[in-house]
Amino acid sequence: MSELIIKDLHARTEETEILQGVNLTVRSGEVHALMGPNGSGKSTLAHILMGRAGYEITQGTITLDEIDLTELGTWERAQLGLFLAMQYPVEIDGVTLLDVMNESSLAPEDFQESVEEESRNLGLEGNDLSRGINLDMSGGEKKRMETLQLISLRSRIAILDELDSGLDIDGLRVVSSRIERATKEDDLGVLVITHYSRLLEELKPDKVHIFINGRIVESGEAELAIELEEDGYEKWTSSLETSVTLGGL
Amino acid sequence: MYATELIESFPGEKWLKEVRREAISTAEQVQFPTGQQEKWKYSPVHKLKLEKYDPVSIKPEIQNRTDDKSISLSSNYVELNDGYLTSFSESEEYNVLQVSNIEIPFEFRASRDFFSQLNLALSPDPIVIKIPKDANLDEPLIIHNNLTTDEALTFPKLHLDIGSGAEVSIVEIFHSDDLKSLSIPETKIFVGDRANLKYQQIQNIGIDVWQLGNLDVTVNHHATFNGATVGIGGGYARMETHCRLLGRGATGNLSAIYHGTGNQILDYRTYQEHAGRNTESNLLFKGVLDDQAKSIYTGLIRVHKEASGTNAYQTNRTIKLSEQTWAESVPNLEIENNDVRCSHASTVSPVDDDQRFYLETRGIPSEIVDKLIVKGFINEVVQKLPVTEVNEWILELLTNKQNGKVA
Repeated sequence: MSELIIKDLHARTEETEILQGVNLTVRSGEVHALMGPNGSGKSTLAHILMGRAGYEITQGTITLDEIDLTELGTWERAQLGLFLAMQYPVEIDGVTLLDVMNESSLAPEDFQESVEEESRNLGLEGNDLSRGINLDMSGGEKKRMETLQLISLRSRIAILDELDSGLDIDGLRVVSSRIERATKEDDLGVLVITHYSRLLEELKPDKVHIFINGRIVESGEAELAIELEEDGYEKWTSSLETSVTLGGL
Repeated sequence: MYATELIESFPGEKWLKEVRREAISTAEQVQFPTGQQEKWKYSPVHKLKLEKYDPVSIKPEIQNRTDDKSISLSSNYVELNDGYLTSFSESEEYNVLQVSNIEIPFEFRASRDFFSQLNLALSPDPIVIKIPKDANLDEPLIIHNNLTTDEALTFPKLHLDIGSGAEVSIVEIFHSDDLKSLSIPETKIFVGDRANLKYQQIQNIGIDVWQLGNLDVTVNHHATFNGATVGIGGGYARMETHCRLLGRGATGNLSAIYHGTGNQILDYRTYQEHAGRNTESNLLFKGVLDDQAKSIYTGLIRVHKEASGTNAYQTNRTIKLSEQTWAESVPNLEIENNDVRCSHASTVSPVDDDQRFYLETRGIPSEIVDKLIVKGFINEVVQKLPVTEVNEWILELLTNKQNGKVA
């Protein structure tokens, strides 16, 4: 049983205050959806949770199974079981998926077979895994590749940053149902950042959180996502006097 | 002056002594380079004191270097120690000649450059390797250029004459014991009509050795020179590569991987000279710098008036693993014909933050992430290395270099 606890998290870049008191707990087997308008700081939250350089945490804590993550490097957080599936997975010429699996301490020793099996499950069997990671892949293939790594590296809590962008309907179904299965079979905990409720049809959220201007303004059940799809964020944004532009990360 | 005495002591016919004397006087006219000259810009050559090193006037006694992994790479080899031919394998597919045994004057065509002239004057044992017309070597010919004497000044000198239609792979290895010395090697290559030469240079000299090297290649009609260099050693290691596409339809490809650590300075100057029509050159040089290492790359594409239909490309990329590194990259074009396609690109940049972050999110420690990124960075050149028989060894040398081990 794992537990990611974000408590009163405030963070900023040199110029701007980005997170303004985030409170959220994600446990093993749970799916939390984080939805919010462009520029509300959702991706930035994902990066800060993962320890990306360039942000300063000014207040609050992030713990994973009672271990304080705030002073740890990205790879150390990953080794504790936190995973970030990127919105824009980078292409790295000359570094293959097998290199990643070989060098990551999270990969099981006999990963070859399970990677091949997952590749088939995720519709990546036609891809040459000895090529540079993500290189010349379509947006959808990149997202399948992220899912392949998430599953193969046996992460405990996964942050999915717009995993649905770039995926077609079939891809979306394959990827979301595979992750849904991991929450059931392997007790994976998920924080899914998305704009659309379609991803949540297969990957069923226990909670939906609305994120505006660096904090969660409302949390509710799965139906909240449907409501959002129909009515947008106006109900929440109009109550704020000014909307702060946060750079779209 | 010691040079005169030295010349007298070298073996060879009268004509050779005369060539040496002339070269000394030309060197005196040209004079020792200063940092102000364009081709020596950014170079620490002005700190060099020739008199601190002694020319090797007696052929070194060499034991069999069987422990050296490079020996096992091929059964075709030529071994030079401190610029003297010490052994070579006999073959019907090539001839190894010592110029000091040649009665008819040999035309060296050394350029009017201080160190080229010094090399011509003071190389104790210039060697010519002739590959006959239409020869086809099964295995690469490995040239071992070893430095074995401490505080020595050495002048290895090689001429490779590739006969028309020949298909050959040649590997030239610059290697030294753990010593302090200065080496001024010159390798001249003529690639005959329709010949195809794959040439791999491996510079793996000691960290206290200074090298001022020259590689001068002339490619004739419809011939191909596919050359690469890998540079990991040297305190200050400079390699000037001149690729002259003389014949119509000639092709010259140049690629390099160099990796500097500690206080190393790696200096590459390249000339892609298009003299013939419909000639093509592709250059890709990639450098990796760590600690306080420095690198210099300056490249010139020169297209003669007659060279219509030229395609010439030049790319130099340098990755900096530490903030204390320093790199200069200067591409130049000199084009006298309108019917050409040329491009040049150069970048000097730190490790990409997005790539680093991405790999770290997969649970890979920072130190290993950088190694992976370097592996990825040089991969494009690794794919182009011409003599595949030695690729595994090259990758091992590069990995050891990155891991900080003495190769």
